[in-house]
Amino acid sequence: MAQEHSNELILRVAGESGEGVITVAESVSRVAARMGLHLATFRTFPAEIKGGPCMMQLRVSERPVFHHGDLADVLMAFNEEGVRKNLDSLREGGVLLYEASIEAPIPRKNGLACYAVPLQQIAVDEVGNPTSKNIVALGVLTQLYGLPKEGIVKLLEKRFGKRAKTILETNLKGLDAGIRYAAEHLGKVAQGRSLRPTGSSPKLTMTGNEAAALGALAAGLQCFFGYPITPSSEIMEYLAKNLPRLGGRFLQTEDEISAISGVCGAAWAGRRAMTATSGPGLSLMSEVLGLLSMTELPAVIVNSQRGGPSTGLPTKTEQSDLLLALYGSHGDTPRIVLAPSTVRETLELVALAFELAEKYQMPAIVLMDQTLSSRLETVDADILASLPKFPSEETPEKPNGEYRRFQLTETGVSPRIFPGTPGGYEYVSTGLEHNERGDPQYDERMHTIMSAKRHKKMASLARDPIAAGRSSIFGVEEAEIGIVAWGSTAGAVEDAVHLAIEQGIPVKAIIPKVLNPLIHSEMKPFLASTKRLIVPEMNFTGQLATLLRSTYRVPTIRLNKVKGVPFRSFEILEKIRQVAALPSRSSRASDASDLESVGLEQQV
Amino acid sequence: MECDQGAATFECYLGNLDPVWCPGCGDYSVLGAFIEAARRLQIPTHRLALVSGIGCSSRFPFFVNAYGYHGVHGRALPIAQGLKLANPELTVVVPGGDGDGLAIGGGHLPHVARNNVDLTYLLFNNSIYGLTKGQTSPTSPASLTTKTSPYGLAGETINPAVLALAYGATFVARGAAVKRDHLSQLIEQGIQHRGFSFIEILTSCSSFNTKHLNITKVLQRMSYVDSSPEDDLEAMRLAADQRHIQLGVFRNVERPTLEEHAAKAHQLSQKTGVATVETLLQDFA
Repeated sequence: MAQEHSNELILRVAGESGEGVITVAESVSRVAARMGLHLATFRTFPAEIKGGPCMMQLRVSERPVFHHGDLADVLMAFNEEGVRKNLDSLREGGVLLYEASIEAPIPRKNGLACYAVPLQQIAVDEVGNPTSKNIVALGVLTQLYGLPKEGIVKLLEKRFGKRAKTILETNLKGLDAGIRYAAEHLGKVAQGRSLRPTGSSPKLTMTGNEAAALGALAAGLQCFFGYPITPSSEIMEYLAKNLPRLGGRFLQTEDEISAISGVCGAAWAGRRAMTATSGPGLSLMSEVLGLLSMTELPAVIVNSQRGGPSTGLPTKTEQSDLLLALYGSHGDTPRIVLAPSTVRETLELVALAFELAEKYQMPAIVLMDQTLSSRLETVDADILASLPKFPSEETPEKPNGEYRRFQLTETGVSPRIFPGTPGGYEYVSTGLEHNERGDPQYDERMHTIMSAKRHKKMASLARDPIAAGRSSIFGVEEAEIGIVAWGSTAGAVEDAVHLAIEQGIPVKAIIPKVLNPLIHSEMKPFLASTKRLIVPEMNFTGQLATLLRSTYRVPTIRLNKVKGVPFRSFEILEKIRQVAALPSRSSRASDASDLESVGLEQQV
Repeated sequence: MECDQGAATFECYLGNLDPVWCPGCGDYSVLGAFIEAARRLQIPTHRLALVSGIGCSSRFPFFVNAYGYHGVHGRALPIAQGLKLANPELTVVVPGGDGDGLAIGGGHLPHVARNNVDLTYLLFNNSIYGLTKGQTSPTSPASLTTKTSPYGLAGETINPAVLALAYGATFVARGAAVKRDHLSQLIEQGIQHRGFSFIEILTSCSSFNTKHLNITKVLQRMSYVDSSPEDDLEAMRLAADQRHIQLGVFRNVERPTLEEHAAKAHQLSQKTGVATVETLLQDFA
């Protein structure tokens, strides 16, 4: 597919963890971003701390891309395992560059151009250091794919320049040696795939986790409490360093319960507070999430999903925390759930989560996943300017007469006063059912009134312009086949929809970003105009499909993947083709089990 | 009433709800001792924040005129820690029972203690679960039979003050509900102490476990620590004394609080230059 787009390249680098695979791929990524190209990456992590297979794929393109691409144009492999495990991810007619000292026979594949490159030999002969082979490889790629050498040099200087002059010199030597080798021996390899700088301005490159942290800082984060957990730890590490620089408070707690409790205390004090975690941590936080709903306090919880249940697949991706995010806690617990699908959106939606949580006085969960957390993507340098200017109400409005913390209002939102405020506003908040003043009162009448009050805020939020218009809708508007997807799956869906349309199959898709409350004004017209609805998700049971069926009473055709790796667009394309080939129906399918019987219900 | 002008009376600190504790409950006396301490210190009610979990004694905030947060079982300390870190201006007091603090919430005490958060923890020790009507608690005596230990209790009895000493709390004391004036002095000292103050309060349940905590017997065994011991081993020995129930201050030392550490972190972080979100973003160019 990629060959149809000019100025686009999908590169995969593979080897043993510790061989510098990520350094090579990240360097290419960052230089491409400085050329004004767009970028999306995907990397795997071995479960081990040292060693284990390691891979990073990157797609750079002149047009915006939000998926790392199905099949690579180029595979650079440092060892035999790197070749063997990744050969299937190389497209027909692609280029395999591999370490020449690999002894095992290289499997041959149709139309593949294979080149043994003596990376290690060059590193020993010309640099005097075998561990520089990754920099030699970077030199080779620089030469072959038209990367500006000075850009790479700048990156290396930034990385080593200050503290290690000799390391820098060694690396520059390795880079030159790689460039020379490629110029002399690999002249025809690139097949005219050289990347060209674009006219657009250089872009920022950051991971989803970094974007989440920056989004929080942009929204005025004041207190962070967290407990380390893969794959979200980088959020807390970034904030540990940078939140104090901006005057905020950071604390690593003894567990996730303490973390969300800290957020609760800080929120009661009137500060903007958050935590970041993954599934096991969110499970532990469930009870305090209910307390936050009950005492109507804002909180932002970023949850980067990984394979579950239990410890599951700690370093692999999944989208199986949706129902936990929506409902995880006893009782009826209104909360906001947002799901970004790109790095840029992560920054925007984390900032939005703060605004919505503050405005509607309830917790907001931002659902990311491992791929999105670790994905390196380009973001426009003016991203902050594009964030909507939310009004920040620092001092709460002081009501007259007797203060009622949980006063019944038109929107369900009551005036909030923070401890420390003088003037006779002292009150007690409680997790017990309470009256407007906040005093415990749990008779049947009060529980009905207050349950309705808390849920009224959800209805108000669903009508709020700042939550509206965030769904991505693309494809052929009148298509009968529609796709609803959420989170990082959106990139593969977008590619699949374009491919299907190219093949003459009309299809459309909607990616809601606000999953609780669902924005009916956006979902209903889409669903009403769709006869066959495909819901691809990285979970086994179809959690979004369940939500859609129960909310809108629509039949769904599920496409589930639980392999710990993201969708490839051809998997979604295949489903679209299958659904398009179904006998036509006079009206919308009335029962999902009709489709189950033709074997489409589930792909494992 | 001139409650916020340095002339606050005992009544100024009374909440608008009447206590719901059983007649004869020791918690009434603790409430009185606390309010008396707050009055002597003239803490403005709007600066006073009480955070509690679940249990009879955790209802405490409702009966005090102050800002209060009555949360979930076992999480009062971490909520209070977040509150104090967010607003160091507040005087934060955490009242709670032995089940709330040492059973379900027992994992938090070591960390809030070692962090040295500047708050006062009033641990009501009545050796029983009162609110759920008489089950064993971590401080119940080994022999106790209750509804959930009909054949006697498994496990050793926890000594709260010894734990707090071991966890590095900077102020550790023990008082008793029946010694109200002494307790009030301890609470006053605890609130004045800069750092984490742990006050174990022996109190009695008038509805359950009444035989065990026969107050006359307890009174006979009580003894006062004159001044807080210089070294930790002596403090431990006094707190763990089996023959006497020692009341008084076991430890009173100073070290930096969590809030002071946070302020220092802010200072250190400025060495690399003043940052804004805009300048942080440039690191990604």
